[in-house]
Amino acid sequence: MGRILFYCNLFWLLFSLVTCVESYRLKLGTINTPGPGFFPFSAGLIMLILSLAALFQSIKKKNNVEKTTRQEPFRWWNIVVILAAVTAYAFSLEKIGFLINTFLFMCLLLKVVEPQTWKTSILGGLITAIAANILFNVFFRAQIPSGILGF
Amino acid sequence: MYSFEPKFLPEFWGSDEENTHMDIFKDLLFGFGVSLQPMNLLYCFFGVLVGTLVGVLPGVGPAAALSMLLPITFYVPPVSAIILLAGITYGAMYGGSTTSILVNIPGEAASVVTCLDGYQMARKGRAGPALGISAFGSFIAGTITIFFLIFLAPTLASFALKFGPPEYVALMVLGLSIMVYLAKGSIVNALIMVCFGLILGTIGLDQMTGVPRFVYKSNTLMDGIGLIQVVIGLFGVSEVLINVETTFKQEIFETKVKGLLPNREDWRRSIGPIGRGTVIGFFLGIIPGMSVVIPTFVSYAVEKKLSKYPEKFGTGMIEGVAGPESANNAASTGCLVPTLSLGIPTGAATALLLGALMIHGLRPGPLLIKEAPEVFWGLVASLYVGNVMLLVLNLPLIGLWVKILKIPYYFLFSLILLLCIIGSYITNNNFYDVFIMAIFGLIGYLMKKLNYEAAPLVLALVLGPMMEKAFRRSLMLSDGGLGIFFTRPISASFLIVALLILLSPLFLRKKRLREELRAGD
Repeated sequence: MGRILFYCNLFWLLFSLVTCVESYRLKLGTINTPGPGFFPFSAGLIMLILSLAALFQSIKKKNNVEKTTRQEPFRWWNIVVILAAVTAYAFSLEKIGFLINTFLFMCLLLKVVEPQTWKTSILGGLITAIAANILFNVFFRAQIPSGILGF
Repeated sequence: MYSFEPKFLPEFWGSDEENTHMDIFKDLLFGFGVSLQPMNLLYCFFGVLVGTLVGVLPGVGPAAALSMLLPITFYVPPVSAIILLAGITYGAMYGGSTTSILVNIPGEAASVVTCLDGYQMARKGRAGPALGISAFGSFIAGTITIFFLIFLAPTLASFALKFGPPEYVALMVLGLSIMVYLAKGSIVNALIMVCFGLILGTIGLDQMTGVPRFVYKSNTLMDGIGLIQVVIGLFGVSEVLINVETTFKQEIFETKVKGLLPNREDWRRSIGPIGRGTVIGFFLGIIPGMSVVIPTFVSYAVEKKLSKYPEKFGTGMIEGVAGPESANNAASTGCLVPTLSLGIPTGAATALLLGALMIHGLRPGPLLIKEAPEVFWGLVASLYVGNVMLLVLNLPLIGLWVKILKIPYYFLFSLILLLCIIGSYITNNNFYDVFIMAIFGLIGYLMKKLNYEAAPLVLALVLGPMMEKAFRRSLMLSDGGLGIFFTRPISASFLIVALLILLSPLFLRKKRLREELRAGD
C-alpha cells in the first residue's frame, strides 16, 4: 500500500506540473485583469505544493507499512470486462442501435462477470433490452439511436 | 402554464412584518396549487418511489440516481423536474432505514447509524416499531423543517442580495473547507481532490474570454466535463466495480415484519429524539459540506449523551433510531436552504439539483425565489406532499422493498450499469460522454481503494466555474488587490472561519501531543 500511495502522489505531482505548464501557455494575464490560465494555474500550484507534502509523507510511511493479506480472491478481470463492455457499448451504439446493443451488453455481463446459464443470460438480456427500449425511447422519448433495426 | 400568481391574492392588513409572514403563507398556498397539479403529483410520486428504491438498494446512492435520471427531466417543465429530483433525495432517506433495520446493510450512508440500534431491535422481534418510528420520525421532521425552510430561505436570499463577488468567493471557500475537514482520511488528500475538481471545472471555453482551455481539439470537451458523467462514474460505476472485484454475498431476510405502529411507550421515548434530531439535522444540513450523513451521527451522539441508559445504546434503543432517522430527513430539507437561496450546493446531490435548475434556464441564487416563484414554492409544497406520500406508501410497501432486496446482484449490477450508460448518453446524445463516465468510474474505483473521497471533488467541480468568475471579477473590482477579500466584513469573516477550520487539526494534534507528554511525565 505504501508503494502504491507513493506512486499515487507522484501522479498528482506530475498532473499538477502539467496543469501549471499548460495554464501558463494559456496566458496568465495580470493581477487586475486575470487571463484564462490564471485560475487553473493557481489551482495547479496549490496542488503541486500539496502533492509534494503528500509525497514526502508517503516516503516516510513507506517503510512502516504492514503487509495486509487479502481474504478473498481479487477478480480484476471483472473490472476489465465491465470497462471494456461499457466502452464497446458507447462506440457501437450509433451503428448497431439501442435494442441489439443492450441485449448483447446484458448477455455479456450476465454470462461473464457472475457466470449464469445461457438461458438466464439470453432471457435476462432480451427482457431488459425490450423493457429499456419501451421505457426510454417510447415513454421518455429519449431518442436513443435505433441503429440497424430501425426501431 | 401556471395561471394563478401569488400576487393576485388579496392583500392582508397589518404591520410590515405581519405582511411578510402573510405573504409567505400566500406563496405557500400558491406552491400547493402548483404541486397538487395532477402531472406534478405524478412526478412527485415517481420521485419518492425511485428515491425509496435507491435508498433500499445498497450500491446506488441518491447522487448516482439523480444523475441517471436528470437527463430524463429535460423533457418535462422545470418545476416538475425539480419536484421529481428532490423527491429522490428525501425518498432515499426513508428507504435507507429499511435495509439498515432489516438486514444490517445501510442502503445509503445517511442510514449507517440506524443499523446500530435498528438492527438490534429487529433481532429482538421489534422490526415493526423500528420501521414505524423511522417513518413517522422522518415524516414529522420533514413537515416541521418545511416551515424552517420557508422562513429561512427567503430571509437568507434577501441577505445574500448584499453579497458581491468577494463574498461569494469567500462563501465557496468556506463550503469547500468544511467539506475538506469532514472528509475521511487525510486533509491533504481531500485538498488535492478539491484542486483536481477546480482544475476539471476549468476545462472548456473560458466564460470571460471565450478561449478554449485544455480542450485539445475535442468537441466534447468544448462544453466542459459534464457533472452528470462525473457523478455517475464516481458514485455509480465505481460502486459496481468495487462490488464485482470480490464475490458478492447477499443476505436474505427471512423474518416476518409485524406491528408497524409504535406503542405509547415507544412514542414517549421517541418524541424528544425526533424533536432534537429535526433541529440538529436541519441546521447542520444548511452548512455546505455537512451533507446528510454527519447530522445523523451528531443526533445519535446527543441522544446517547442525554440518555439515562447510555450503555444500552447499540442493543436496540428506539431513541437511537428515532433521532438519526429524523435528522437525515431534516438535513435533506436543510440542504435546500443554501442551494435555493444562495445557489451554493452543500454536496453532490444538491449540486445536481442546482445543475438541473441551470439546465432548465433558471438562475439559482438570491433572485430565484422572485424570478421563478412557481419553482421555489412548488418545490417547498411538494416536500410536504411527498412526505405524506412516503408515509402512506412506505409502511404498507415494506414487504415489497424486502422482496426487491432479494433480486440477485448479478442482475442488479448489470441493470445499474445500463442505467449509468443511458443516463450519460442522453444528456447530449454523445457517445464520448459514456467514455468519460467510464474513465471517471475507474478514477472513482481507484479513489475508493486509496481512501480518497469523491464528495470534495464533485463540490469543487460544481463551484469551480462560479468561483473562478467571482474571483476574477473581485480582482477587477479591486484593481488587482487581494485585500478586497479581507477588508469587506462578510467576506473576511467567512475566510477567517474557513482558515480556522482548516488549521484546527494542527492545533488539536499539538494539544493532544502536549497532553500525551504531560501524561508521560
